[in-house]
Amino acid sequence: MLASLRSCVLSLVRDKALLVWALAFPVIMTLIFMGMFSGIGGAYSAVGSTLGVVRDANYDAAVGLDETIQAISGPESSDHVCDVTYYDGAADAKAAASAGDVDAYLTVSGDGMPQLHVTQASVAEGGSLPTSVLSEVLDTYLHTRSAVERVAATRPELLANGRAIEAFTSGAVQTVRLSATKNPPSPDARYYYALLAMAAGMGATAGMESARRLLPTAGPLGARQTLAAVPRWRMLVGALLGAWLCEFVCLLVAALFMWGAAGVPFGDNAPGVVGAIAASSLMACAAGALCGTVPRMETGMISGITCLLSLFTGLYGTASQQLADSIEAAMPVLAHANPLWQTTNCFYALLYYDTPDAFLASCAALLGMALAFIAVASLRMRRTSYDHL
Amino acid sequence: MAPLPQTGSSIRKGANMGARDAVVRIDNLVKRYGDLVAVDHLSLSIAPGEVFGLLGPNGSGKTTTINCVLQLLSYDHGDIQLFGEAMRPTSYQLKRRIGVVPQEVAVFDELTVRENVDSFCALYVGDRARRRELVDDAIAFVGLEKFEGFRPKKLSGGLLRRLNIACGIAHRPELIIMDEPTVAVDPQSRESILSGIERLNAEGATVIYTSHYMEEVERLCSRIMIMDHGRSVASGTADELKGMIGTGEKISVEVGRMDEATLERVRSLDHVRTAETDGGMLRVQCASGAHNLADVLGVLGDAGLPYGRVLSEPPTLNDVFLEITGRALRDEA
Amino acid sequence: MTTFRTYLRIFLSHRVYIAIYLVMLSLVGVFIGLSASPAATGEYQETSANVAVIDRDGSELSSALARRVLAGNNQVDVADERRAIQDSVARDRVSYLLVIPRGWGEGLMDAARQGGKAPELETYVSYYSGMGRLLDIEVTGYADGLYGMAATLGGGAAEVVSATDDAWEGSTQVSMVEQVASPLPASLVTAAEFASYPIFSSAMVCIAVLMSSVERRPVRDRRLASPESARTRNLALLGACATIGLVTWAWTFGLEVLVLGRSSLADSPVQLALVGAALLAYALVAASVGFLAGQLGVSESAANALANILGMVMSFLGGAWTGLSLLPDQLVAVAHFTPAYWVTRVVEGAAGMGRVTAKNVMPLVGDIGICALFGIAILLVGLVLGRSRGRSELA
Repeated sequence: MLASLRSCVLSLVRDKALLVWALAFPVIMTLIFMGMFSGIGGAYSAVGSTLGVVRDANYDAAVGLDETIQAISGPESSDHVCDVTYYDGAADAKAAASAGDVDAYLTVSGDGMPQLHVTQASVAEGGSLPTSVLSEVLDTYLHTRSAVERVAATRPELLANGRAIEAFTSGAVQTVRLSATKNPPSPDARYYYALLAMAAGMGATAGMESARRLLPTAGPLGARQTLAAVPRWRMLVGALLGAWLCEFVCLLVAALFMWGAAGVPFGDNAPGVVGAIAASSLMACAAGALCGTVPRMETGMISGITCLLSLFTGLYGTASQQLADSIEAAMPVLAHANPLWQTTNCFYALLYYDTPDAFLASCAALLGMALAFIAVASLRMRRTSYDHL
Repeated sequence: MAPLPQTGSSIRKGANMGARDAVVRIDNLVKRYGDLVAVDHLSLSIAPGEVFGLLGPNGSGKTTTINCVLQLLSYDHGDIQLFGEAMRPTSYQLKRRIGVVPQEVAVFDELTVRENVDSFCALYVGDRARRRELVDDAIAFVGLEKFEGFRPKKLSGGLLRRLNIACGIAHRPELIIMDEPTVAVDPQSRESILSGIERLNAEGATVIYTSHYMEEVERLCSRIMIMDHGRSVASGTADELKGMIGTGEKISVEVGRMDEATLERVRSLDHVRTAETDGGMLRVQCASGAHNLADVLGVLGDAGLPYGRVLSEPPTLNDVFLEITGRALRDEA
Repeated sequence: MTTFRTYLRIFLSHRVYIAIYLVMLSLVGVFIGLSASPAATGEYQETSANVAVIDRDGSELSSALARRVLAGNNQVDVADERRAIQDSVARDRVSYLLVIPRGWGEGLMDAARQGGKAPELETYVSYYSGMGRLLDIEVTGYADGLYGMAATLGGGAAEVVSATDDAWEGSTQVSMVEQVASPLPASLVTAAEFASYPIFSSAMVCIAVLMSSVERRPVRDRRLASPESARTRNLALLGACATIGLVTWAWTFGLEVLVLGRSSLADSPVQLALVGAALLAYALVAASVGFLAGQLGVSESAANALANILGMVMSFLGGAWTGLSLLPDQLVAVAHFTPAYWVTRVVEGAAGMGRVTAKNVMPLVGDIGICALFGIAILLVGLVLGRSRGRSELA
């Protein structure tokens, strides 16, 4: 068994495929992500937009509207959500919107109701969140004004001495942002974890190659090994251990690079991270070994399968993350059956949860999958014989 | 044998045969890989209708020479002419008249036998109808009719080699270059391949045949060149080659014990070059002579020594090679 | 069988592998499109978040607040335990979780009467912090209304709530700036933006499979020894690569239109045509990269790695995964050198096109042209390399 481990390690190290997938690929993508993520953060926090305001008679007549607009557009304001340009008439504002100078423009109707006109382009580009924020601000203005008017109807003296307005606009109720998780939720981290999972999946080719070489149908090399005086399952285990060792080291280096160069948070639990990498690489090698026993399977198919599974870990951007989350909410069994999802979840659990049970559950799932794959692979190998025609 | 068209190129004075006649003419070919000289000032000339054998151990430069002729390799020095014209990588008209059966099986794994032959024939013959005939003939020629729809993975080694040949000769080339076509082939397929080559030659093709199986070369080839270290060490017909060396037949006699005196008497016979005993066998190497066997047996009879089996082998090309280079043909260089 | 047909035959003989790869990757694009907002982008859809409220107070005021914040959003139930809260927030199952502390209602009424600050509300947000800001505005707005009513009109909790609710009727009217052109569905746009990665990867992988068979040394030597000129050989290879590019484009784009955007065939033909043309140009770029790789003699596994890594890098740099507006400026400068960037520009431009005029369409056509130029340049490099490989050295 040691012999097949040794030959497996040597051939994998010299054949660059594993190094490319389990090491170079995550490193390259990490560098790309590093460049990208100053922008990606914006995908989750950006609410800003450019607003055109039509400053006509109706606008001036709307009590308190201008103050509200000032409050949300002031460059120093803590409530800054938009940059404002003023226009004299609706036609000018509309032209500016069509030209793309502003994302939306605000008009006020004759009865004092604010109306927001938003461009198709801005929704296509930035989504509907910035506009929702603007409309929420305007709603609050509208409701506050209505409330003040009601108060003024029954107790006009409060309006006169300004207490009415003050009562509603003093900001008496504040929210405080708490953090439930050990570390603050970070949109970047999830991408890196998904990347590590994908690298692990791609590295399954190592397991596949090692197992395939043992098959008698793989050619003279396989036939020679089949003649050895060692039972096939032992050779398989040896080869698998070799593949696992190689992939584990590569992924560990990649994770170290992520942590050191890109500053990806992994929580403070180093042994946990090592354990997660070990479990996921074992699972990947076992999956690869199983694929290796399927005769018509080619190594390239593993990358196809990994790409598809990575969709459900949220690797491919915001839309993919939403898809992954919605599947996890709606059909958790389906999500949990995805080994790459389990890998991502291991790291996730380490970063966010106080208790280790989620992490251990995912590790257990990965180990269970690995054992299942190995068992099936061994069974299949026993049945394969040299069949030429 | 149909006469080949005269291509009327330059005549080299002092050549062994008229340059106009030669199908292949190589002058002073040199190919180096860094310090290693793979082909060392090789010259040869092949007449139409010949089966020309290139014999030599592994690494002697046979395949390198072939690849230079086919313009698959660039070479450092020398002149190569085919059908009287200089051969260049872009000599497409010349290439049309050549068929190649390379050393490694060169077929597409994804295509069936028929598709493979068709695909390679199409590189030479454009007309579809004609090509279909040629493909049918080629498949029949190599005896693969029953395997037309098979993919290479399903064929045994011998059948693969036959497919390899079919792909090379389907377009009825005038010059066929075969580079070790019978490596790792079962005896049945080998016999079929060899007789196929004889038929092709009978139909008018010139064949260059490289091998390190001397029996095949002796059987097929009208002229043979023995190569070693990139050089020609001997060339001529088989008989001429054997005549170059001193060795005649080799006699082996099964004797019991043999005393030194009798051995000396054997050694002192005319035409006996060496005589040794080797574990109960007397091995005698003779120069050419008509009565060697009778003489040796006579000595044994005179000495009253009983003998068992008697074997007499004529000289082989291996003997030629051994004598010229001091090594056996089958030794690794 | 001509060389071109030979190549196609070889390519087709790997159809299982190709089907798996091509189909899987194209499905990725379709799924991503499906997960995007299903709105016909002609209407404005207010963002609705997943919101949970943990009401520890249970008073009239807190119930009113909870009701208000959950209306118009997706209500998610979360147990009042640390672990449940962690779970929901860490995975963005809940974008905004409001915890109303015990005694908040009382505290608010008292503060309103005395003119002081009300007790704070606790919130947890997921990494979608933008949602958090939106909901903060909603929550504090209504809570301020309750406070203001309590401070001015007074009365009991029920009266305060009812007065506030009355005032809180009505909302800002939001409409889209009038679109002359009927826009493409958002799902199709998202999928089309993402399509650059599957198209590139699958085209390259298919070509890699072809090359590995065709460039095996013995077969290559046999072909080189034949009277087929280098030009014919290269043209046949080029034809095969272009065909493969065409097939991957037709499948990927066709699937996306079929599943996500059938209506746009009739409604927005010009925008659809622009998107399709951009993706076609990119597919041909992929084909020329594959051709170049073939001419360089890249092995099959190396081509596979190149297909995925290069495909991902180019798509990422081209803003295909997050949209161009989110690319940092320095990266945008680099991205100009990737064909995927120009494709994304066309897709976003077509998606946001207000009116189909020559003025709007021509710049996008120009972008398609730039993308195609990348392909032509790579192709020329490949052709030049192919010429000089008529003869080669054995290793």
